[in-house]
Amino acid sequence: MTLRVTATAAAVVAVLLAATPVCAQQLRPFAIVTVERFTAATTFDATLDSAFQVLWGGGLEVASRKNWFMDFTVTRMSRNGQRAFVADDGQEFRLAIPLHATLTPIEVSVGRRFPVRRRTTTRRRRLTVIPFVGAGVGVYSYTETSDFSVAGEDVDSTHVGYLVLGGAEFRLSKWIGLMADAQYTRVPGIFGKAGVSQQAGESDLGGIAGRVRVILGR
Amino acid sequence: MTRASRRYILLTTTAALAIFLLTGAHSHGENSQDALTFLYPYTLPPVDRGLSTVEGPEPARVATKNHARFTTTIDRVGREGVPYAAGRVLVKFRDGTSTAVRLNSVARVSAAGTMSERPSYANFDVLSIDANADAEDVANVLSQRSDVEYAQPAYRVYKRFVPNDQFYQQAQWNLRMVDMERAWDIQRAAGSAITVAVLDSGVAFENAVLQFNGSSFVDDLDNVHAALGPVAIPFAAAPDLIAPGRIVAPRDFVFGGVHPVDLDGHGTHVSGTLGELTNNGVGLAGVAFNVKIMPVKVIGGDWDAVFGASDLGSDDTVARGIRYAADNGAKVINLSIGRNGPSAPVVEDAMRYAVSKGVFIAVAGGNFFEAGNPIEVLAEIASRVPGVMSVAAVDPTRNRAYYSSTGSWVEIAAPGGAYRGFGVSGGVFQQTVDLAFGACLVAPGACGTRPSFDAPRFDVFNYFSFAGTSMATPHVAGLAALLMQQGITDPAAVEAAIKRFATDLGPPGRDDQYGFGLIEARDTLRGLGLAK
Repeated sequence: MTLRVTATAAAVVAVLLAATPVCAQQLRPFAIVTVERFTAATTFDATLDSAFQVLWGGGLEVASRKNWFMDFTVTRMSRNGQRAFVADDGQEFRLAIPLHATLTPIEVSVGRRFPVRRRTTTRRRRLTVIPFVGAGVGVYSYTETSDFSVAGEDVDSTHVGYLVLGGAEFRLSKWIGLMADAQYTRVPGIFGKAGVSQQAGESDLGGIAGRVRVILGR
Repeated sequence: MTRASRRYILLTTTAALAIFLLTGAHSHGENSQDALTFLYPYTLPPVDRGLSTVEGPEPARVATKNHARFTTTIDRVGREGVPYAAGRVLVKFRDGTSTAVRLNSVARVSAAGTMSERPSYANFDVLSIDANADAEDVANVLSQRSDVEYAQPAYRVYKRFVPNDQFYQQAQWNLRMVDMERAWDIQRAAGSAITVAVLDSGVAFENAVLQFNGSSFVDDLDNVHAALGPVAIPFAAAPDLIAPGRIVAPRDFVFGGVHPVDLDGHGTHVSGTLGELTNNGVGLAGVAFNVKIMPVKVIGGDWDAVFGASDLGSDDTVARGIRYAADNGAKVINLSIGRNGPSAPVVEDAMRYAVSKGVFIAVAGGNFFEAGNPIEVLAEIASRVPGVMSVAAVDPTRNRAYYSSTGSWVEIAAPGGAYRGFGVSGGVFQQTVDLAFGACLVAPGACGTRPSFDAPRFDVFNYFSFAGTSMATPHVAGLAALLMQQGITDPAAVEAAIKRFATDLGPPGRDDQYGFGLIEARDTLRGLGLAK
């Protein structure tokens, strides 16, 4: 399932790239770190200690000269926690049974950049700020393993989610830029059917993320 | 009775009598508060008579971080439902097969297959294949090659704690029914930091000799029993229940004092289900076999009456017992007792007090379904107090035991056993005092040539089959103790967890027969992951 969806996403990127004249494209790789506050806060709090989790990854941006862009991003979260129980009053109890969760989002987003140029006063160098907004889809692979699990008790699930984002790129030099954005994702279909997420009535594996990218290219 | 055992009984009884006569009336009990005078350290070894084939009494009201390694590879499930580690096949090539041939064989069965250096202590190789590939198929193809001796997926293995107690497999259907074996895999420590108070008829927890002047008395049926005169009555700790350091703060609210010995057998049996010594190669197993036990005697039986107890159990002894347990470190209270009739605010008050101090209480749901199914008063209180649970009984087929009371107060079910349709094996077995051995307390003449009333002994034990919600209750108390050891310490949360993971029986959802269903020990202790 994961492979199929990934291949489909890659194909979409390839088609779009092919449809754009090569001379009008810029391919810019980037590394990314994401701090996400998951919507399923109770679930993450109870099992992984915090609703805030860090994801690391990288990707590739295809930018056109007309300021359209397409990002292809792969990130990953890998955390150890404990199985837990949430009481009726919301109190969380951890049961000291090790649990390991991974989340691997593969996201494709398209959007538009709005370059703004201004001159600094202290140095005679232009700092380019490029705000951007976008939206996209992602394939979210989630695995969960625990001690004492038997067949069928671990989780390996993949689901499509949706995202919107907005941020700005700051050009640090001719070839390096720093991008910061906020991204909202909604990922139904994985949480909410069982586990703490069901108990807490939380069915979204998405959240609000602050993302920072170091991007190479003009 | 064999000749040898008759000789043994004669010998030990004579010894006990001799001890009594030697010490005589000049002896003083260790604790002057005790109405009964026990002699210490005069002890006799207990007599263990094995597994009884006799049914117990019909159920009636019982008297009143250190993270382990993680498995990061998701398992695949084979055709027979057996999980195996994805991406691996174990293969043994025939002797003399060259490395080149081995690699060639691997390449033929799996394009992505690789074979790394042979692991230590292995006479086989580990083939890495695509994690999404069917390892059983790959193994089958490999097995058919002439250069391969065998090949198989890396099927998962699991810990399996099956107690080695002598009669466990034969007799303890009840523990397997609630998935205790897999629960013990999770929580083997079994609550060593947790004290469970058993408020009952006492517990056979100590070795002693009681000096007793048996006078004539009239029983409930107006039978006149002749005086026995001075007798020495031996007591022994139940050998499959009591270990050094196990007993905490014993208390007797029937006779007073700190020697709540069991003259009935009920409390010892209940304590056995809760925490019989387990995996010791002897007898039977218990749910939370490492908990500390606090014997609190709040109710008496026939022998307690013969011995002069003025109160065989009432709301005040129960309420005082609950408060005593809560004030002396108990984290769980087992109440395999109950009554019908008017409300019991004094007990409710005590229960709420105990819960406020972090104590979980399990209460028997009642055995009177076929006797008009009256409201079980203590169980009804339990249903209104978060952190106190009333317990119904199921038989060996997971059906409501025929005697188990039904009503809005039933919150959870556990194995209580039943003889009807199952015989003696349908009950819940545990070790307790064998009151039928060497003593008789019936109507005059019913003991044959023996007097109607002779000296009992409380140092002879048997593994008896009992049935009742009394027997179901310690399953819940034991699970609560394990859960507390596991990290859920709030009594209300313990109750919520036990309900949440119960196996629903009867109509979907909560019902008056089973409450939220049959307890499921393993799932309760394991808790929940994020998504499953």
